[in-house]
Amino acid sequence: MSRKEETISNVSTKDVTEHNQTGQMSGESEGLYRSMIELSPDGIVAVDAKGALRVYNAAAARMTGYLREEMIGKHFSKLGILRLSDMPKYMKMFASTLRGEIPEPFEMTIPRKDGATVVIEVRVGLIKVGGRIIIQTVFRDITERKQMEAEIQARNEQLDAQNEEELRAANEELQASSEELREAQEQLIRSEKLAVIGQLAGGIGHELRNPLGGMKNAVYYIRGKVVNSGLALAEPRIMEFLDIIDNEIGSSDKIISDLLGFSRVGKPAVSPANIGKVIDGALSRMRIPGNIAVVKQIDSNLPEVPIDDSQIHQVLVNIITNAIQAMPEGGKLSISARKVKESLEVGISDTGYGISPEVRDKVFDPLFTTRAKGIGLGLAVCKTIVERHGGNITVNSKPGAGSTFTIRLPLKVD
Amino acid sequence: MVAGEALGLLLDKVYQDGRYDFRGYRSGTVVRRLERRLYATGVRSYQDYIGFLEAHPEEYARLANYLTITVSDFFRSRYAFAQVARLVLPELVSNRINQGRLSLRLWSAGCARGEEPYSIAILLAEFLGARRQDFDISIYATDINQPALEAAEAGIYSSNDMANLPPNLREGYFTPVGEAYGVRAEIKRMVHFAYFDLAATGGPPFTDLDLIFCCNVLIYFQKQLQESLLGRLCDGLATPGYLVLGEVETPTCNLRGRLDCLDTKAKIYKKNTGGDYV
Ligand SMILES: Nc1ncnc2c1ncn2[C@@H]1O[C@H](COP(=O)(O)OP(=O)(O)OP(=O)(O)O)[C@@H](O)[C@H]1O
Ligand SMILES: C[S@@+](CC[C@H](N)C(=O)[O-])C[C@H]1O[C@@H](n2cnc3c(N)ncnc32)[C@H](O)[C@@H]1O
Ligand SMILES: [Mg+2]
Repeated sequence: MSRKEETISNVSTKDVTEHNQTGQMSGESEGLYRSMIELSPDGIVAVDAKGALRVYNAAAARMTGYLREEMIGKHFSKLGILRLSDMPKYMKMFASTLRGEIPEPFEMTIPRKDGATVVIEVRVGLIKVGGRIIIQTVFRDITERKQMEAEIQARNEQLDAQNEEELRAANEELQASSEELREAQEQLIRSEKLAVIGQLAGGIGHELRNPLGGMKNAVYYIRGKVVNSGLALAEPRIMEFLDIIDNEIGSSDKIISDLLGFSRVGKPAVSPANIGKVIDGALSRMRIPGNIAVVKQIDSNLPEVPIDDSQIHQVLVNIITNAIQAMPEGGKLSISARKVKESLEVGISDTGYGISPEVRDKVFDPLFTTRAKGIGLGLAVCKTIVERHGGNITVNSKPGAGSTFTIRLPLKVD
Repeated sequence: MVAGEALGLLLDKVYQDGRYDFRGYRSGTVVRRLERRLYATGVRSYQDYIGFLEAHPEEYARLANYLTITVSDFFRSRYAFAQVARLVLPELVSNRINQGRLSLRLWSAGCARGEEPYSIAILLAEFLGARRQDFDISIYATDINQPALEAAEAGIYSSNDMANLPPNLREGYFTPVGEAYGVRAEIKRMVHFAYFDLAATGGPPFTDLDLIFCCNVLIYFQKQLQESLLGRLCDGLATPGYLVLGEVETPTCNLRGRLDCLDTKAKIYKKNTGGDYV
């Protein structure tokens, strides 16, 4: 085993074989987990149940200035970055986290190796790797943001002073800058995450396509043999199982398409299209439950819109899928298309459970999901595709009443 | 009525009847400033304020002036100006000399009280030295804040206003006016002030520009308005042309490859020949 492998996450070959025995994580997803950690723009550090450092990624090394070699294996209390006076607090947190009480995200200041200090925002999680418990902390450098906030605070306190209005304005400017900075930071994290996913997805997606294709053919063949044989009658569940396999292959294929959506770099292949047809195409490919009524309102005489219709098809399918999932008890799905100024606006509304304000800010983030079986790629892919078309996508929602996703696509390419 | 809706109605009203469009601004700033305006006019709610606007139409302009923050400074980001002198001006000027077309067109979009366009003029004067006489230089400077524009046009600054200006530049380009300082005529001559609303849709007011400064304006806008303004600024640039943004501002979508970043810290962008996105 190479030294690199050993230190990437200290999940060694031994662990990998263990996983296979316990059937918890395949070698492939293990590798995926490992590269995700290594490529992550966030610092990731994890300790085992004894408190010894087992994972320490490149971003963590960048933020703290300490090399992986200096840290791996040490007990977290001996890393030289935690204040002695805070140690009882962290010990307590460690113990309670092991019991499954995950602390709220918190901020802390740590000394860098070079003497500077960094403020980080830390999120703690408990994960199981190969039957072992690991406490994982994910952190982000928020030093710049903190400085700005401190400055704002200081200015706020000065406001009673003389040139009140001038100060107020200066403070307002600072506040706006700080908001801008925060958004830019989030955008950066998002695009770095996308890049990471893209890198991994390209390879894995292609690898999985072929075996899936083989399975699909095999099911087709078996079905053909079974359908007219006595077997289908004697054992009717066989056909049912074949359907299940078919469905599962279909949804695996969808996940792969989503993943590949990220890795497919560059421009969409744009040509003028009739949006009504693209919408009908998407609807015809989906299974809409009987308790959901579909209402279409496509303005007549809409001009053709320059799009990559297969990509926009995928956008519509993803959004409609979410809408259906949001209405388990049935409801109304409305799809509209109209021209607004120089854009084509497509609205997709449901009367489902809606989206709470906290969730709303995150729905377009890659890997964000609230569904047990979700991956959180659907809307992230939509956003990427729509933006590559020079458009944008927004969401409006009333929790409990429903949600509307609005896609705007420019009618002219410049 | 939900707070957001009341605000929306008020901003619609200000747009319809006052012809100021603050609908695409970040709500944080707008709300904080509005609260103080409400307080100053003695009304209680956004709805009452709509009534007040109807009774006192002159309040529209006052509100607009109050909502726009005109904080600025001479050579506000020293680093950005230094980098413009290093990365932009040499190429721009030598291109022009080679083409035998000795003119430069620049725009300070959101110029506040004139500190920025005058700084640009001084930078050019310093850079060109004796060759300045040969060049036909136009620096357009626009804003929607009328009092700020008037102050800019007057070009008189207190010593407090000029604290950031190196003494040699103050001596070289200003003359004392009582306690204060006035911009010298040779600098003033290069700068043309005008009212222009950057939130208004429609094309850019100037085209074929060599260099645009649009600093600390985008931070007040929501993403959508940011993107549309950036697109229009880009349309106004010559090819090649340069764009300078404020310290914390980044073009969100990179304008689909129309801009290349020359300096990530100084926020200097160059419009490339691309733009042929299909
Ligand atoms: N129409 C909707 N109504 C309510 N919540 C929604 C709706 N659309 C999206 N969401 C929320 O946004 C989250 C992200 O959606 P997204 O499509 O990106 O991922 P997902 O559906 O969870 O997983 P998948 O990758 O399988 O699509 C969902 O988990 C859900 O919480
Ligand atoms: C904070 S100042 C920045 C001044 C200068 N560019 C600088 O960076 O120092 C922002 C300026 O943008 C102007 N502004 C805000 N909204 C505007 C709009 N819609 N159109 C034109 N100017 C606007 C304000 O009036 C203000 O003068
Ligand atoms: Mg989904």
